Amino acid sequence: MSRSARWLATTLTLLLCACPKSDSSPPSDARATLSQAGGFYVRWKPSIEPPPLNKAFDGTLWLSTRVEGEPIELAQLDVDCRMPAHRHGMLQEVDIIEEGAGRYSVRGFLCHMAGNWVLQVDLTQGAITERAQFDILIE
Amino acid sequence: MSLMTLLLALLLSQVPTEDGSTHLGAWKHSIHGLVQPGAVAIGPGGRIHVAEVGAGRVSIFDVDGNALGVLETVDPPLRAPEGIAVSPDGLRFVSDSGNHRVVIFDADGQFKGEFGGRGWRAGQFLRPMGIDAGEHRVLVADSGNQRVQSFDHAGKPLSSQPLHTLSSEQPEYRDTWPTDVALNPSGDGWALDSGSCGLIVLGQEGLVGPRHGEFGFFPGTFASPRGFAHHASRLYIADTENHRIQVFESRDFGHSLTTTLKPAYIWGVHANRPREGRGKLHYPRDVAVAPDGSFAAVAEPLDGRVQIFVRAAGSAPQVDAQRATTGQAAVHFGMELATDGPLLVIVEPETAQLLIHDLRRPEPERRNPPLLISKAGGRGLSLGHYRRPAGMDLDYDARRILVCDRGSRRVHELRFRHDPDGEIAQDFEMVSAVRMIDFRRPGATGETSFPWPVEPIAVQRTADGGMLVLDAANACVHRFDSRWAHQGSLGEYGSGLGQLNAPVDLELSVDETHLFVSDPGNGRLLRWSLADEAPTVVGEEQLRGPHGLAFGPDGRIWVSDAVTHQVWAFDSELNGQWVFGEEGLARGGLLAPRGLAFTDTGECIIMDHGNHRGIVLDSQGNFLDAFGPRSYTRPALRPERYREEDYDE
Repeated sequence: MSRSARWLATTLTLLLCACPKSDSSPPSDARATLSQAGGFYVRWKPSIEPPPLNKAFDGTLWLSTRVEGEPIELAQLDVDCRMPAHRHGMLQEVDIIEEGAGRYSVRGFLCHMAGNWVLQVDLTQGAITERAQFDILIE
Repeated sequence: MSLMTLLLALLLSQVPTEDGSTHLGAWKHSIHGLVQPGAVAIGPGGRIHVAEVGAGRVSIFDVDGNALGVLETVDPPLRAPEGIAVSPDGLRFVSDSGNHRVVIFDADGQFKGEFGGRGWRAGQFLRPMGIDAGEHRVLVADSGNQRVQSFDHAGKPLSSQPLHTLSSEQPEYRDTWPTDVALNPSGDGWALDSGSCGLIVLGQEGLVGPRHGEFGFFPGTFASPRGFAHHASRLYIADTENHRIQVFESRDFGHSLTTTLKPAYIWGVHANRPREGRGKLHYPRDVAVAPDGSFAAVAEPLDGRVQIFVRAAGSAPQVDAQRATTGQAAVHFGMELATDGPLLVIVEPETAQLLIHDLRRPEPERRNPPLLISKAGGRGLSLGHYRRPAGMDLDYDARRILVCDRGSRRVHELRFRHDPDGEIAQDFEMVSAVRMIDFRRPGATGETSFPWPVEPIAVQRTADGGMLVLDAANACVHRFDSRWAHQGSLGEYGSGLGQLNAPVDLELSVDETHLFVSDPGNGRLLRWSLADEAPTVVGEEQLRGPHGLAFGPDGRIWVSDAVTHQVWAFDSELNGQWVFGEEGLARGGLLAPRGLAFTDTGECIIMDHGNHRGIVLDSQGNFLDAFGPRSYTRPALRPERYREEDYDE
């Protein structure tokens, strides 16, 4: 890494650390759904609306036990985006960072193809993994 | 130079070498009439030992296919022998999978001893499979315990190498399923892992070395490889679901932990026609190479044969461009199916997908095969993906499918959308995953612990939204409530009343008063009255390898028999009646039938697994239809055009 690149990285890191933490509660326009077996409730908001074609974006998830339930912390989460009709997913994996109070930052979505995608949120509790999912239209 | 030295020199000059001037793979002839030959070994003198899984014996042949003898035991008889090895001094070691033991025969074929027994402790087995014997050591693929064990020739345990311990670091290897092993010249070993589709290098001190290969269809990748052999510097791998033998060159065979493998060549192409042989391969399960490297034998259980291959000139076979496959393997129907309402779901083993069919008829007056409308799943470890999908339950009204993944030890619940009044149309977005239970995780069976994680092989949804799960490893049935909390279990391993051995399917009566379980290890069904949990033995006289179960519209329980190739039905008094089937391809024929289910219209669909087709019967057992690849269905649909000789090798 060159000296200028190292300086830039250091500055960005300091800036990121200096930023105040955003409010952990979901915005009113976050999409919400109950998981497929009703075991948890999840809200979701992408960093770019609508999620773009072939351009990386991030997202935030808020997990709770039910609609007005307790936040789910220290969750064992797997998040993926897939195109069921085409039987494939993304070409990269996302990073999940817990931010507290049931809020999880998900970084590195990249939907490389136009069409119907599905955001899959898999929560494992004990021996059981349960899925919540959101439809995403990429145009 | 003495005459003896001259003779020796002449002999040595005839021993094939791996210098690239010749290669193994030229078809010579086939040995037919075997009953599910699952393993093969070649001993001193070129004697070919074939473990016939379905017959419970090891048959011995010379290289020309002349029968030389049989290895059997009496009490108990061999039950699903899945592995055979011959030591350099002529001892024969048989992996007696159904009895969870290794049986030793001396060089004269006399029973010499046994070791093992069912369990997880050192020296015990759960369904041992491949085996290899060196001068001093015996290596056993203890498949159910996901480990390789080493013994001396008397059966004294020397070491045990668990193969799934890498799971936390490499999740793709968490579902290890070792199916074959080999000792190498340095005294280390190799294990073939059918679960992760790779070859694992073993060290003598319990070290597990690198893995080679992964799932795939291209050269150097594998689809459920089941058996392998080595000779000189080459490894020969039976790449079962790719229907080929892959040959690898090992650069430093004597130092196994640093071994590198280089693909050398591939022999055999997929048989397209039923029973097609002459070098074409069909689910090759095992391969063995003669000690002098002069020939090889390949076991194909579904075709009941062993093909013999000799050396030919050149470093590799000539590729038949018209027959060589470079992409995805040809698709076959799997063993299991489920039906309810207008839908039929069939497992496709090569791709670990569920094939969803619509049973409705666009033209009601004409029969048509089930129409494929969607695919779901695929090979993987996440929710909704599978390693070895097995039994299923389809509940059309609830729009739910339960799927057992025997490989990952999980049960998945899926939901689907379907309009019974809508047009028949493809919808590849119709299925989504709901949840899964992972039996390797703590708490899956509540406070009750079992020797092995539950190995789900069949499942049925109950009226209260819970489920019954048949557990192949612990030989019992588990009951779960609608939240999948464990409520108890029924049955245990054994051959007595209320005991099971290698159970494969279950069926609950509509009123949920009786539960039937097919118990092929004991050649029977068990029926439990759920009110008092009293068991009854069913079909002991008629059945040898019961598999699929379903209640017919007349209230009888129908069962397929994978060993006798028949379908039987038992009434409420448990009287059995033959319904359909004999070994064959023509109308009326079946080959190792597996799953069986009734449609809402009272038709019975049978997975004729060995013939790669589905057979449809009416409620009386009369043939109605066959569906699947045309070359397999034509002999049943147009029997007047079927000539046995057209299908002979």
